[in-house]
Amino acid sequence: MLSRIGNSLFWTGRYIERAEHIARFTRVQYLSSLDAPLAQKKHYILESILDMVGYQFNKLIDENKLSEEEVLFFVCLDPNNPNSVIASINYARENVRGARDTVSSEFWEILNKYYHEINGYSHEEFLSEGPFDFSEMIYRNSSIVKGCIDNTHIHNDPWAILSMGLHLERAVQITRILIAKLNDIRKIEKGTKAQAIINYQIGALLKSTESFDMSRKYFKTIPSLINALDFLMLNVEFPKSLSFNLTHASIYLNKINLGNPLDRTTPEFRLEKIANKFKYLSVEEIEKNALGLLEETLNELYGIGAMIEKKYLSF
Amino acid sequence: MKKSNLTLDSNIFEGYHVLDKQFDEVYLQQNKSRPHYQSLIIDFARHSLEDFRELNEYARDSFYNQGITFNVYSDKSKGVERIFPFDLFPRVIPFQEWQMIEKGLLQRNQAINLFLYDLYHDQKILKDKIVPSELILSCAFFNKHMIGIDPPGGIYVHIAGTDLIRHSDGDYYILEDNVRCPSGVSYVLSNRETMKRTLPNLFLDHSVQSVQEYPEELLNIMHSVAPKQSGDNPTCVILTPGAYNSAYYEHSFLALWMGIQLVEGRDLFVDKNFVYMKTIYGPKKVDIIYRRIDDDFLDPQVFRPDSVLGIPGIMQAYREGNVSILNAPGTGAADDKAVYIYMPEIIKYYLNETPILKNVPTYRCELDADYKYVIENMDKLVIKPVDESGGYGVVIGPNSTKEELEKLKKVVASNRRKYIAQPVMNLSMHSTYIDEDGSFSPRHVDLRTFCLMGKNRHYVLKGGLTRVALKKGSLIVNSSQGGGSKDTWITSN
Repeated sequence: MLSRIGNSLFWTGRYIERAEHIARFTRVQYLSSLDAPLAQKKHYILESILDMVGYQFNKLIDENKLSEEEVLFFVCLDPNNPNSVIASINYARENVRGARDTVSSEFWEILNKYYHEINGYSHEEFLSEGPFDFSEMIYRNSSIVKGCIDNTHIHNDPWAILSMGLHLERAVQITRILIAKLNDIRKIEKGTKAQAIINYQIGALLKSTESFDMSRKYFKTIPSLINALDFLMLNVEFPKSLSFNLTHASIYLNKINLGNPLDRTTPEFRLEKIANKFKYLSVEEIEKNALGLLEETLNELYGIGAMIEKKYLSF
Repeated sequence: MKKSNLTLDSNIFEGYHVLDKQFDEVYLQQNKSRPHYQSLIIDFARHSLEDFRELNEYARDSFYNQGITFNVYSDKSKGVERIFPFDLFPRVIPFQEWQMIEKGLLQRNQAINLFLYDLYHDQKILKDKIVPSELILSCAFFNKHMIGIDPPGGIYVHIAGTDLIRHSDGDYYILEDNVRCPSGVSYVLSNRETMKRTLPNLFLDHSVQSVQEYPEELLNIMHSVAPKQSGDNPTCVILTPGAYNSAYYEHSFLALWMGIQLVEGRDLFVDKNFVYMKTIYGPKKVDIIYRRIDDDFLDPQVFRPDSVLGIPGIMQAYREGNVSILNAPGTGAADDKAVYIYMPEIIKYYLNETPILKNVPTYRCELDADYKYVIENMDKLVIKPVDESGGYGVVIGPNSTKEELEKLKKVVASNRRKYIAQPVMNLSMHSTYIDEDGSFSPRHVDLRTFCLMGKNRHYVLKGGLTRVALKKGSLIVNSSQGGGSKDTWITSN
């Protein structure tokens, strides 16, 4: 496989996953805010959403004079915002367009339909209806696209690179969501309503990562914050947990590496190391400094992404 | 059951008027279809115009979702994508008629390959004064770097996209020999696919020759001209200028269907006169390149130094016989529109045969007598630059104003070698669904054929791309200028 194509597929996986997470996070935060206990004003919700996509709320609002609805539009449908959902899908489609001879026609056609649907989404409808229908459309398309990736390709190099990009991005997004929600919880002032607000934030965290149902089944109770962190960071069987995604990203990267020896400077070594770290961490260890650990993990994931690009995808 | 001629007033073809002095592919005369269209017309008549509008919509969505589009360049960062308009009413060519066309195409392209070999070796045809030397030596596409190079099997033109028209006299004529980088074949295959998705039952009632073996045949042709040392499993690639090229869909389509890699110039490099591609595992040797970039951009060391699409050093690798390039550089010397005039003599010279397919009578402005005639009769002629393609630069005299023609006369006078002129050929007409009118009307059509030639093998795609000038009265069928296309059926009796 050409390095250029590898690069396109790696980023395709990343953008498809990124779009889905941003859309889901935005919707969950927005819907939760509608019946949130007191103090969870829209202002905080929007701040949290912008934090998740890498913008500083005050700076953006001051510079662009955006209304609340416009902030949601900016995050979801503004093609000029490189971190928006629509921009991610446009990038994904552009990358696959440059690799059409490598991917299946089915995958291309499904992604192309996704691209046309999001680009045909009405600005007015979005502003009047909010992000609900929009994000439904994103999940539906994202699920079909990912099903198509798995079911219409040979599970060899191109598929492994796409899948690796997808899992690496999911690990990044889950980490970002965890950081954003831990920051939200940290801001909660002590008082009689504090526990209710914390519970609300835990619910929003789990819904933002599609973990609400499965975590309750797993713990057979409504999860506490530490349960939620345990589930989302350490569970080895749940596809949205950090541990699961790091392990899978590592498996796919090793598939590309063809069993060549790994020294400490390779991305394979670094990815396997962090995957194993999460495999063997205990919940007590993360409880002490979850935020610090997550921030460290995020930096490490960015570093590994850059190493993968340098080793395999530069051309 | 015997199928009778259908009268036009009872079906979706109601209101269709066969035009005087035009060859209508579908109708012999008003209300009477040609025998090979009769059963098709009966099948189409089962639909109402409303049905047809919906089917048309369905076909359009199918193209859109499959991303079967071409790019129109704009000032925005991403090119605007357009669908190549597709008409669901197919063109039918009876098998016997097609056999004659196929023989004619093979004859023509065989002669072109012998002609190119001669031009780049002994130049006997110039010495024997069959083709004037000055015509070749002044041709922008005569490539001096090809002199003395022996391409595998002596084949220069592996893929020819000869354009045919049918004049009002009912005969087929060759309008152009496209032997550089002809495009359009992906539309042939996609049109057929869309026809099958949209009107599957039609294929049960008609015996239509298949087109889907083209990619496999092209790959076989590529393998047949592999460099000697490349072994049993040579690495083949398609070289594209990139995703923003107007024919990118076709490049990726062919690569996918052939199962080979689509590469850009930046994916390749030359080391010690061998060509390699940059893969995730390091360099991999490339043996055969089907290039879809022009000669000028192939190698910045030899041709345009500013080319970023090409691969520095590839011509030396080619000269050493370490890589095969399809079509070979320098084939444009054979599709110069002034050289076209000599094709009947070229066929006779190399094959000792009478040309099967006719040439359109052509005037070479470089010759004094022809020039005089062209200047005096410009309002009745079509004037074409010899080295353009895609319909660019073509001026149709009868459709031009006096001022435009006066201006053109000056342009021609300033560079007579660059222009030829032909009488206005009445391209045949074909019943075509016109979206804006919601009805069928006659429109001019031509036929782009695809002929493959390799070492000891050849193949002609059964049918080709029927291009339609969608604008009423227009003779320009090119997609870049408002043309559409139809599926082309070669039917058995």
